[in-house]
Amino acid sequence: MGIGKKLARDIKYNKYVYIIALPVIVYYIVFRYVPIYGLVIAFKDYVPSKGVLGSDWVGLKHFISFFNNFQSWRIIKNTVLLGVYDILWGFPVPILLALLLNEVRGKYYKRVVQTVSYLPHFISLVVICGLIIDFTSSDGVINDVLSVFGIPRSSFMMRPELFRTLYISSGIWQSAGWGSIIYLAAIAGIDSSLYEAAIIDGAGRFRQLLRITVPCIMPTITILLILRLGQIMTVGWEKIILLYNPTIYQTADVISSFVYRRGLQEFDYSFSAAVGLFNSVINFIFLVSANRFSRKFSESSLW
Amino acid sequence: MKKVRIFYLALAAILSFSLLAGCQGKNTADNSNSNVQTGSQPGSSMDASTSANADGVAYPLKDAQGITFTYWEQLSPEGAKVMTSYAESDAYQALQEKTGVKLKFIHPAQGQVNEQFNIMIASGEYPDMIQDARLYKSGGAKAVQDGVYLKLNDLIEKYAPDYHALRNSTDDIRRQTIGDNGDIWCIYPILNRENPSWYGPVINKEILAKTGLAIPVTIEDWTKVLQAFKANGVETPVVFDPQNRTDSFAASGIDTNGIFLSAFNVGPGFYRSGDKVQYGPIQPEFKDYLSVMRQWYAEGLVDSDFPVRDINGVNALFTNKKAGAYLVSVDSAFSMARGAGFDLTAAQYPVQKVGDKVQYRAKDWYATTGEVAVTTACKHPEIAVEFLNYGYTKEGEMLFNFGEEGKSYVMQDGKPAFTELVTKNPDVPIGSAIYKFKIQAGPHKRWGAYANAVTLANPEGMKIKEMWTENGFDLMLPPLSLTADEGQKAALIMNDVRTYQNEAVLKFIMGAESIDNFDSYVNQIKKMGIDEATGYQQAAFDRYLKR
Repeated sequence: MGIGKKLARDIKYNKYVYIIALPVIVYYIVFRYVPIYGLVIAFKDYVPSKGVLGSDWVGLKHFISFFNNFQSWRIIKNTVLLGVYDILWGFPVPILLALLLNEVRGKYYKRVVQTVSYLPHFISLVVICGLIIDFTSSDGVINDVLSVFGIPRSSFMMRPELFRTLYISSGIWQSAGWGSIIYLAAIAGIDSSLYEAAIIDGAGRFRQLLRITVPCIMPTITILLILRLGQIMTVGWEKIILLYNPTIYQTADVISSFVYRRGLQEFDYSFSAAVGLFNSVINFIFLVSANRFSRKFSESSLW
Repeated sequence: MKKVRIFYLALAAILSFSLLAGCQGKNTADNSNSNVQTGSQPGSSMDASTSANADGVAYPLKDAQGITFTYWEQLSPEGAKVMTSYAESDAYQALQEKTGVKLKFIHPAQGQVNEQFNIMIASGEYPDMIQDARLYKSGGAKAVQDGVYLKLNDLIEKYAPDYHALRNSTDDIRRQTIGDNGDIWCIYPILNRENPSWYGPVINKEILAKTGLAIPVTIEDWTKVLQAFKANGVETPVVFDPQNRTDSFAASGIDTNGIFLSAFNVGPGFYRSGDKVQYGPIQPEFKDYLSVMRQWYAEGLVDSDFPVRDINGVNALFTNKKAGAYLVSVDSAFSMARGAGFDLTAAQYPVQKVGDKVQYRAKDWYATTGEVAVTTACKHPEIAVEFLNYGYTKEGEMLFNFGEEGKSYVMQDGKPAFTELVTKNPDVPIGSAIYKFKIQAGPHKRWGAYANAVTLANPEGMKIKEMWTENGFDLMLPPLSLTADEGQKAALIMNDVRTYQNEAVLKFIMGAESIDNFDSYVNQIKKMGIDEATGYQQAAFDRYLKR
């Protein structure tokens, strides 16, 4: 049977399902697939008045200009390092938090902790960055504390060696609570008879955690890790441009902040599109290889 | 197993939903950004007296009946406090009545002017007239080539006699109002006299009095005064305005108008030395400047956190008397000092030796921003140009600068003076009143600071401005226009140069890099192609001189 015929029959039988799915499909086509054709401006000299199709082709000019740029290796390195550190330190924290919260038996205490840990997620990034800069300035809270112990005051945001730590740790502070929700949901889905059986077999709390909870949420962890790896090169420009200054460019300047300076401040759309495309291709490669790796060594994968 | 699968479905749903939500937010924001407002239409003006002027454009324009022009203009943030559109501005209503032309305003959303301008151009649906037409990427001359703006040369000669006469009155004005290729692509607001300089070093009078020193004149005096401030317990003797992030001292180690740098006879970026264009930050004199700044930083005379302190932080230092001197716009300095209750004085721009004259300062050129282009979408360009001419007639000049006589201003001893409607209006703060009762920007013969009620209300500040205006501007390049090709290549070079330069200059000042490496810094910038970029500026400057 031809695929068209199959589809037609399926639509006939499940027409309401298709009607429900229609808006989502339309959404993806209109907002996710149609705009992809705009990527061609990476290979053109885009001029708004000529439009996407009318602009002149220039081939790989913008890519070559990016790789010839004196900053390109530095910003690629910074982007990769921030991405890797973010996964290395930022990914396990919500899992740990969820596991710890799960062990807390005091209902009210648990709720208070959860709420407090979610709160930073709802604060605007602009405010967060303002807080970070204020706290780390040479007359800020952190330096006030350090000076008590005789450590000389200095503005942390002017010390390149500290930027990555500050960026990652503030990110963890902001997102760990929110990120733990999904793991708590996964933990809640574990069959309680498993625990009962383990208790009968004499397993203590820690052993239950290690042998039941962790393995049961492993598929969730794997899926989220794969998705996260797909964004390894996506270091948000908003936070970077709100935090950085020329004294710490050497560790803080990343691809997206570079694209921002080029694309939005100087309207160099094509160049930005080229760099953005490069960034996305790397992300795509990470996503696909992580998925393949996971399929090979564990049961869960995205496809 | 089933439970697990349901969980994944839920997981997928949550993830895709959050994606959806994120995007939807963006899309709706885009759609609701521009608000289009119809100008309120004044009653029939047929009975209004028709004023004819010498060259024959008679207002109200008879042919304008039944025509409504769409007019793209940013609504100033101050104006937005009392109006949702200029259609509500008393002065704009009077303008429509006097000229007989009806306007429909299109205002871009606050803070997104560039983005919305580009979207408007990309959409291909242009309004009849665009104010701030320079926003077009690569400049207005390019917009004429691209078929977006009309070439106005002939139209102006024929339909805008008053503007035509004014723009040909001096060489400077003529050069500043025409493109390199001889195309006129917009009508500029033109200053009727040199506009006073608004930016420079202001000093807290109290703190200076405590040191017993005189107002500093030379760089050496400045070092002494700042050291004395420090000795008197002032934590950060001098601070700089970090408002404009890309050109500020905080970002580049050079203050916004190059005020300390110009004492060394170089400009902060590209500048002219005679007819030759040069780049300031690679000149040998720049090394001397860096040495002074480095010394100031090492002695704690400059805020040790300057690269990260934002405008509120800097203002707080000044208002809390932790800073003695501030390089800032004089108007904001006065409003801060009044709020904090101390008196201000100001120093002349610093020089190296007594008797030197600084040749670089904060300056407005005769042709100012607020320029208007007529687009190819306009069906009646000749009427549009006649309308734009109004601000250059005697009557129009008064309407734009002061509003309506007897209402927003009265004549005193032959000079216009604002009434309390503008200066002491209980409902409209003075900063907003200048947008409601007069027209601040827009095509007219501009009186500048002398028609700005806010500035006029502060005669002390005006005196300071006039003192700074005594400085020369021989080092300053007039506004140049690079060709699209030049512009693109120069932007590529300059983006790299600025990034590298800012980083290096801050390191020099903060002592992280030895000043002996200045030569290798210069070489690095040369390697990045600064000579090529200077060449483009030079070519543009040569064309300017030939205009």
